[in-house]
Amino acid sequence: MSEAVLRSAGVPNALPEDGLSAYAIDGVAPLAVAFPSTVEEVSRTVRLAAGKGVGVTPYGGGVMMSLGNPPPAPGVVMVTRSLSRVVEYEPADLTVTVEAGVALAELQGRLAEEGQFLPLEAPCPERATVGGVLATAHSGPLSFAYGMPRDWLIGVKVVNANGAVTKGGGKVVKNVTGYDMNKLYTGSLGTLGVIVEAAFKVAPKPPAARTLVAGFRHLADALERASALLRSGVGPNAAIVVNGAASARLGLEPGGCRLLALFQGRQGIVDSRVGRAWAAVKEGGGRRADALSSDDGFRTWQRLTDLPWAGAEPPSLSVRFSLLPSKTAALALALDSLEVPPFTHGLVADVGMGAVRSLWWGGQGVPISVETVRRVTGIAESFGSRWVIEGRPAEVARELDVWGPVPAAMDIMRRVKAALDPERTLNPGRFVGGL
Amino acid sequence: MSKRRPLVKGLEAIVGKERVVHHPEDLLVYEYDGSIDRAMPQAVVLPDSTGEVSRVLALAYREGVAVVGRGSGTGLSGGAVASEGGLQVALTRMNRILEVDVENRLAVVEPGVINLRLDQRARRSGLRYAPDPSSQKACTLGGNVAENAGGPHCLAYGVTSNHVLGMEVVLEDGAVTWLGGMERDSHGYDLRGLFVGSEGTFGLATKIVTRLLPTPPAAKTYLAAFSDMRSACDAVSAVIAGGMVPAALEMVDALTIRAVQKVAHAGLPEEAGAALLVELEGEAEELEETGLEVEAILTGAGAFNLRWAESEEERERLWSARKGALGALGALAPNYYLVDGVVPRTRLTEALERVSEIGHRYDLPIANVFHAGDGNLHPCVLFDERKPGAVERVMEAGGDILKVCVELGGALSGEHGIGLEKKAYMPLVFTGEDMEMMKTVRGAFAPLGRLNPGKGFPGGPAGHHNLQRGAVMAAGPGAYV
Amino acid sequence: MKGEPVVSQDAPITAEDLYRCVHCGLCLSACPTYMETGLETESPRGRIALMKAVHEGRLDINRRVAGHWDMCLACRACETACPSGVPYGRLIETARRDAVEQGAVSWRHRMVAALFLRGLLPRLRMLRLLASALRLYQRRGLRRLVRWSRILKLLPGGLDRLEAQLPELPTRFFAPQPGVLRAVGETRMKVGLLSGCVMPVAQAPTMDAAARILRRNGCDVATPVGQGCCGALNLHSGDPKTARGMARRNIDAFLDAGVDRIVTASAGCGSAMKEYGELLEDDPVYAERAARAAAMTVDITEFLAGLPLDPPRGRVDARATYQDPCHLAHAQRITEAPRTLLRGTPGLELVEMEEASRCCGAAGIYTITQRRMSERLLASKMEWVLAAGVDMVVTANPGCAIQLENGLREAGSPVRVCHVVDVLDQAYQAEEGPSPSAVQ
Ligand SMILES: Cc1cc2nc3c(=O)[nH]c(=O)nc-3n(C[C@H](O)[C@H](O)[C@H](O)COP(=O)(O)OP(=O)(O)OC[C@H]3O[C@@H](n4cnc5c(N)ncnc54)[C@H](O)[C@@H]3O)c2cc1C
Ligand code: SF4
Ligand code: SF4
Repeated sequence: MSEAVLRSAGVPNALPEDGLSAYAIDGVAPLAVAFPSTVEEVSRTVRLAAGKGVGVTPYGGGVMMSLGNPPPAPGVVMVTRSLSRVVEYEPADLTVTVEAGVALAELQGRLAEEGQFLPLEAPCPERATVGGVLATAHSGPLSFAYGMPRDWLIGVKVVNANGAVTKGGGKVVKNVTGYDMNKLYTGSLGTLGVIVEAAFKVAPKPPAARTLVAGFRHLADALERASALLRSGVGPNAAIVVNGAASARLGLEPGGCRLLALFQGRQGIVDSRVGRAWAAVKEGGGRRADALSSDDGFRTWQRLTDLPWAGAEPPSLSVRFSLLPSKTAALALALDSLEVPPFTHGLVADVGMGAVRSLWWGGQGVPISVETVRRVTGIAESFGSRWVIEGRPAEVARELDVWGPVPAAMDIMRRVKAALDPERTLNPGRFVGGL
Repeated sequence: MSKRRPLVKGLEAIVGKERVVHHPEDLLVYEYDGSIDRAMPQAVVLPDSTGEVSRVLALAYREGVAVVGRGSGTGLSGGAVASEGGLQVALTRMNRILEVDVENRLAVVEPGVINLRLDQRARRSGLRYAPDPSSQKACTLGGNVAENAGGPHCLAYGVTSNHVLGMEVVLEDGAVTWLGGMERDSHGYDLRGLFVGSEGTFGLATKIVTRLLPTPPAAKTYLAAFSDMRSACDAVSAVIAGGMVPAALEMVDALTIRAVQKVAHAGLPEEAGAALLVELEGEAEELEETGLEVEAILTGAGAFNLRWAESEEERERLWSARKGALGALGALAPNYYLVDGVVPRTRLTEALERVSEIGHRYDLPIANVFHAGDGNLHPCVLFDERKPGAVERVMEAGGDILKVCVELGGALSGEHGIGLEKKAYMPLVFTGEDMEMMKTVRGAFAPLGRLNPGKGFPGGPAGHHNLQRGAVMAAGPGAYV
Repeated sequence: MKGEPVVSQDAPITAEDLYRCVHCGLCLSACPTYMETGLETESPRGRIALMKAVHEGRLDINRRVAGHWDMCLACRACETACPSGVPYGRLIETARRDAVEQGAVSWRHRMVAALFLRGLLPRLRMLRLLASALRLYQRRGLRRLVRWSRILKLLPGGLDRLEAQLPELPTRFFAPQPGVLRAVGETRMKVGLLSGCVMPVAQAPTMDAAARILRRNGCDVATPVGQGCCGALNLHSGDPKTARGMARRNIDAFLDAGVDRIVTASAGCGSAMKEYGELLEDDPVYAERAARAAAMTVDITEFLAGLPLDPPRGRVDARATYQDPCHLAHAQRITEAPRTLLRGTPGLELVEMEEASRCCGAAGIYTITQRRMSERLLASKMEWVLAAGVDMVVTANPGCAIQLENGLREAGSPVRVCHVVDVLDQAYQAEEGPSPSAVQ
């Protein structure tokens, strides 16, 4: 398998040998890197690899490639960025169909021209592709109000392990024709098929947005206020709590932990809600409340989304916990009490969704140890939480399954994988339970 | 049929005599659901617990008998009809609401819980279960999950699959497992998402975890009359294009208005060619602003007689008229065939015009009552199944309507499922390879394919035509005329 | 297979009624027997499907089929729920009649029918005689002895149950009288009060109260002597012939008395009388009179709520819940009137229990013919009543009242059972100062 082989098989754009290491995953350099620009080329690449018994790892913007177990063997990396057409956009229908390699920011830009947006979030949206966001089912702060990627995908086209192109769903916002294949491919990390095209429903962009930022002396107070805000009728679309270290990296004024609450809607309503929320926050011990305008707020939220993955210095370790919202605060507090010198610990808690991210920076050249990782993930158990290690040194990933204990339905998942990709061609070994 | 004896004996050993139905007279009432397809199962069993469901399925597996799940039998695509015979597992007795967790805004229910009961229970805690099929006072959550049911308020809040977090399922061989759980995100493949809408072919859900949403502080419900369907459709497009997402946006045509008025006297505008029911939800102050905009849009599109519900009772009256509209068609004709097609919202007018042409062509009255906001048509072809040839003609008209939907960029079903009813039309939308892929996925859940066999894909002893003829034959020649 | 549909001299089930049912299933959750069993065979849609099958000649009426019809309470909750306007009440009556004609009903049903429905009800004097004997039996402590001896268990199916259900009978019965009780103050209209069969015997005080309230609100009250039982029970159990005879008698009695309205305090009787028109539509002599009498019939709650009522000023301090009698809520679609009257009663706090309009399991002779189901339904009802935390359950039908009293007694609950009329009357009686209604 090499550039030449790909070319002769009809995949013209492949990387010369000396560039391969740039696409190494966990230090494993690929055998070849293909840049298909049509669905047909994707299909050819997959068929070729399958024929040679080599794995294919789909690669979008490369911003979340740290997610997953290390590849068991070198294979073909297939970069989807050249699948970059907006296939169909009908603003009056509130639907859009794009190829998988379209960058999220580009799509949002196109939608914004019509006063619409797609509530998907990704780190580095200029690079992150639509296909990548779907494959990882990445969700951010907006998910509390808008749901997850699965909730917005209405149609999908994939290249299967045997190279066949199939589809699920359609272009209409409500559809139960055939099984809901959209759900199957979303979040499957490219292990069942290569997503080449996706249709979404989109939403009208709220006319106004403001972000309330409040400082708290104690993390517990901030967490408590966040849940109280979500329960109250004030209705923020997101309420996230960050500890001091995370807050500092968001570029907010230094000092203590923060509650960030996003309000969207009509200007008047947003203002009145922010006002009411402000009062409630103050009562709960919040200080120095600040309301960011739409743009400043947007930058802050984007930094928050980037935090676990990118920015000036990506964390050495980042773990995402999912659990019941009612237990989120307690888990966050337990995590916050961990100390692992010389690492700095950042916390991002979404009490509405029941999601907590634990981020560890620094280490001054000392790699984070497997024991430390176990200590962090071990906290999950007493809160009935699941966890996924989203970013870590390769050494750690060789020692433990980054997806944590396998889910109850692991057997069925194995059967699904075996049925759809019997030769284990698609992103083998990287997903939950070695799928 | 020879297998019936040991099967019945085995079932009785599991659940007791009272909960096994096997006399032919009794089975007769299990041959239908809400659709027009019919077929009689060999036996029906009503388990009370997951353990019983598991043992029942294990028994059927050993005996080589097909299994068809059944909720309330309100399905409109023949999903619960045992088209290939076999054992029907009615989950109507598993109707306990196991938990309403107010803090985490979720509920754990058994599959036989009636949709409306869950909603009512949640409302006592200031929450609600958002998906509200028009059949909500009768249909079960299990059936909702199997069909991925929608409803008027799904326009703003999403369909069943947006509200189901996990489920306990019993598989073909009786094995019990959980798909998803209580968290919002998935761990591994999103099998719960895949299971929703699988029409009972993957497994039987025995527990379901649903999300609950807070009830909105206020609602405003408009009834707008239009002189014809075209202007009502324009109004729908204008509302959507105007960036508004009403909680619900429903349309009824003149024929339906007449039927509803005949039965319910709900105060629908009888002189109108079409009417829209528009509901806004949110905070009172917000509603005021959006209300004005919506009013302007509706009036601009030609609404006359625009009014809104002044009281909760009036609002309920409007909604019960809408939700009973389908049933009310019974006052116009003994049968209706509801075609659940979807089109992109911008193609509504065109779709409805072509539907009406089809009605003229086949000389069949067609009433329209549907979820306009999501482009989900429900043309109801009215007929009398006792007239010879009527069913065939209706089915053909239905097929033509579906073809129109697909041509306009839509799909075969928005919420009722494919089942028996539309399986022959699947090739209009999907290639052989698409469907093979879906069947392969099904095989991962049910390798022998004995769960609700013959549903969803072309082939098999399908089809209303055959079944209907079967029913007519059973009635004896001349019985209908 | 019988090719012909069920033929009978009485109007057969009409295809039009039957095929109005589009088997949508929206009635299922309203049906008490379905909700108890989860069985489609015990659901309205299932029962109609069986009728259709019989109609289409796919099925003969046999015991099993008739059994499902018999299990029906005829509460008609399904009719209220049905969006297609299927006249279920009419269908089930006809189906049962056909079942009776074809001899497809159980011996228990037949026995009750012979003894009670055809024997006693048409002859009210005998009923009163029997009741007097019973009263004696109750007063003399015999009851305790008999109950203790369990001798009743040896009686044919269900009679012990019947015994247990017998209400404590009042010392005086209510009986129709010649002449008119004059309105208090100015006469607004003349009403005829239906005394019925069970009420005057079991609940004479309620009847007295009804008369008092009517008079207090400007009505001359007649209780024509010629009247008798309304015939509802006969009709519901498949014996329209006897029912028709009883109807004719009542029509004569009330029309001849020259009243403006026929008022009933029993929801079951009211709904039957409102349907006299249909019952006798093919009777050349009575059709017109029947329709007229039917149009004149009103339930007492409906009547009072529609008047400019002289509001009671006395207090009834209690927390109460209202049980919708099926024949008021579903057969007559009256649910608001009784609640309005209760809310207008000073001191009374009305709370809604869960499933207020679900049948309590009384349903005429149902307690005897379908004893187990009746008990199950009552048990569920008791749960909801007790969960409501009230002092009093108010209803508007004698059968329901008796059933509820039994349930509460068995549950050892101190919750009282009253008719809406009793509550109103209490409030009037509790007024300070010279009460204009203290006439009787
Ligand atoms: C008047 C009327 C209005 C309607 N309005 C709407 C509407 O607005 N929106 C809408 O979406 N639908 C609507 N429907 C269709 C129907 O009510 C829905 O499809 C509903 O979800 C079916 O629920 P059920 O309990 O009746 O299921 P059934 O009809 O009994 O079964 C439906 C399917 O579910 C399967 N199933 C049942 N229980 C389980 C289980 N526990 N596990 C796995 N599979 C199971 C069955 O095998 C079958 O395939 C309407 C129907 C009627 C008659
Ligand atoms: S009786 Fe009415 S509600 Fe019940 S199934 Fe028939 S049409 Fe539907
Ligand atoms: S009358 Fe009552 S018991 Fe009979 S079918 Fe209707 S709801 Fe059920």
